[in-house]
Amino acid sequence: MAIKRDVKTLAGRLDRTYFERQSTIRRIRVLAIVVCVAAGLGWWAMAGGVTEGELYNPGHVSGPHAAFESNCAACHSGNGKGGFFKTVSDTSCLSCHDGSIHHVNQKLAAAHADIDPKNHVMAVADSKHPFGATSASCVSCHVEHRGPEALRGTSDANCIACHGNIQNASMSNPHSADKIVAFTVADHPEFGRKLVQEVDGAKRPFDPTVLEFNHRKHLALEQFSSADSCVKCHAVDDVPATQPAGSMATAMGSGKYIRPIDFNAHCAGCHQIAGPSVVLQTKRGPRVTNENLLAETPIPHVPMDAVRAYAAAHIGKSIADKGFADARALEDFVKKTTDKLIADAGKAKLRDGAWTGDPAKPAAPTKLSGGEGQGAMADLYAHAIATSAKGCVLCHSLEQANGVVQTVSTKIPDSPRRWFASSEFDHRAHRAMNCVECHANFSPEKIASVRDIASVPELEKTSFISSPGLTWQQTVQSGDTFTTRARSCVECHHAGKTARGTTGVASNCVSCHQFHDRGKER
Amino acid sequence: MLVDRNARGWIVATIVMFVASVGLYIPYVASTVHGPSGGSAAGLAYGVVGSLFMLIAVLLGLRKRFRTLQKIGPIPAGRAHTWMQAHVWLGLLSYPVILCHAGFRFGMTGSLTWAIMWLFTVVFVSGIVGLVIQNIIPRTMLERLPLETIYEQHGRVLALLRGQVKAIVDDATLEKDEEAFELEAVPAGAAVVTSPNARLLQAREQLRAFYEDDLKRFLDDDPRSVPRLATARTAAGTFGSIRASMPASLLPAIDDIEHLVAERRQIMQQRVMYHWLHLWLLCHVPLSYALVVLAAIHAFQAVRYL
Repeated sequence: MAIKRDVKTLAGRLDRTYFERQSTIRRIRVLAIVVCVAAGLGWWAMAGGVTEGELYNPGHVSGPHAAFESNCAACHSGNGKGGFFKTVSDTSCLSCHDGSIHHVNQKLAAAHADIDPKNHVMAVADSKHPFGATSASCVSCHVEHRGPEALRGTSDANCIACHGNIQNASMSNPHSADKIVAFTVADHPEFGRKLVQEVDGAKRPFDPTVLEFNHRKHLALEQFSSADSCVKCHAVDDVPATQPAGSMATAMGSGKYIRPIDFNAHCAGCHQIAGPSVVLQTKRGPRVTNENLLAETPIPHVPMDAVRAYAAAHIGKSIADKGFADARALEDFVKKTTDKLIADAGKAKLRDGAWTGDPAKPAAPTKLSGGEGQGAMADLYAHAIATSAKGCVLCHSLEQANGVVQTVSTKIPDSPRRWFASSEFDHRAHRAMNCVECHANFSPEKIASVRDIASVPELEKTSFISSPGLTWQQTVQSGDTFTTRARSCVECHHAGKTARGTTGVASNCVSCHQFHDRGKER
Repeated sequence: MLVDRNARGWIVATIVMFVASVGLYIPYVASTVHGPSGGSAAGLAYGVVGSLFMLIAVLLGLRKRFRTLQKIGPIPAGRAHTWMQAHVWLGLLSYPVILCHAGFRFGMTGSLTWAIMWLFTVVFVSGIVGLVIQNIIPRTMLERLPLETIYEQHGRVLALLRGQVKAIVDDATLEKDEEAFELEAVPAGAAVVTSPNARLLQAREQLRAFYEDDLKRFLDDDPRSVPRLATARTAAGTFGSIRASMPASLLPAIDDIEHLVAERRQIMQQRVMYHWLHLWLLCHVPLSYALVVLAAIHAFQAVRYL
């Protein structure tokens, strides 16, 4: 029998209601869907999805925040409003950090609602802050969960957002250059603009320290002839024992900056302050000399008021120790001493510019007996100490205050030792370099030998800063030949490769600058 | 065919969107300070677009569930084929778009994003495998299995085949009166003597034995347990030798049996291909649903903690 294979026969073999029943594969698939979805939800629930734990952590938080890693709400507070959104608010950051502002001239929002990072409004008025404002929109720069680099917010892009055109980010006309976008000679202004003064027709940084110091004279001395002579006086400010390494307290003490010159440490070895020589033989009293009156020499390097007090105390003690026969004898002694001191003061010839303002003229005592007489003597001794050749005026300028002599403050050590106050420089990090590689901006035609460095006229005044700008000239010795070549920080600090194919040293903004002004922290 | 000339529009659109996605990603990354982030404006845009593509891909299942649906409200429901094309090409595109959203990172090990990205990777790879399979196997079935029938009806058709073969064998081996004796030519006037047709009987026995030993097993059990019938080549040899020993009267039956055996063999091959064609879906589809559920949770929480 032949089997039929026409369409009708073949179709007749099929159950035409088969599609009304679910196939086994389809049933298995539905079951698998249920199982997979349930497994996914189960894993989500068991992994802490309901309690909003680490399951949603997009990446580990940085080390300083590691303690809060499992406590999302510590930062994701949603500004404490308790709404749906759990964004990171400035309040969370400011509960631990001060968030000082960047610059007094930066745009300031009156209230948090007015903060607008896109329009560079990234500070908000804060009446509780000593400086009246804090930085805002922390997360614009400081990004968590993306590693420590992102948290530090040290990318140049954060700075360039405003410094690309600082006019847009300033409340009033800014002092900064309008556009600073890279650490290159073309895109970055010279350093120390606030210290620049016109001297002898040329603009150059000017040291505001009021101190008469002759580098030329000192460098000619044998003890300063070696290559490392600079550090004998200008040493870096190492970490004090009381301050732990890595402390954020201040830049000073970090080893970055040069320690202020200290008279006792650096000068007193050669320069002892001596009082005026006065030798008198009064009619009725003992022979009295200066040494008798100011028994402890040298005179301490202290402010003039303290010198005056020191002199008064020692004069009084010496007079008491020596004893005078009667009041007339003491008056006689005071008169003769003061006459001599006044006469000597009239003969003293001081260097030009020693006095700031009118010179103080020593006055004769109105009373010769008692404390007034001794006080007048102390004033005259102090005047003599200040104006003597080896006295205060050797280094200090003098001024008159209330009729008596005072030294003009050098502002050392209180004056800032950072000449480029808007930036930081780490001397320790540059210790492999010789000081004069940067600080010797001398013209080679003026130098015939190493010793002749001391002959550079500018060195007679300490008020010329020889710190380098972004571009400067360095004098290089080869044998007896000196050549000058242009130098710049960007020789090493630049993006990309050096001429030798090595990578340049860091040149991003935060290598030298900080955003938050530490001086405006509470 | 999912990838053919008819899909040219989808392919071009997919390539254009892929190039646009990657093209926009490069300046986006260059403009970021700390690298791309799913929470940034561009990152969110990638996330929304990628999620939309994923959603469209998943909706194919719903469209297939309601095959006869013409309109959803006033909106035409679209052809199932269009939905399938959208599933393939937008699904394919969704992975690179989501990678752009995630900044080509999978997230912290053990986190939700990490789980989602790995799940997505498995779904994406299984989808590509499925796409390849769907392009190869149906064409192969068309070429090699002319007797293909509906998978769900295999049991029913096999039962019919078994019945047909049994009927053919029974019919062929049934002793018929006119065939019981062999006519012997004798001289005129002599008595006509009949004797059993020995050759026919032997052939019937052989056919019955073939049915009992091989055909029944081949039709009832796993066909591969009968190697002499399992492939077209061995079956042709087997039936050739059987045919040689069969009288002419049984040859039509042998032809029918051979045809039914071929159909049985094709059903076997069809089942293997069908399993290849559909079993990958057991990985792809359930994981897709799990992915969509977890992605929805991720989107909810990500927006919340943005």
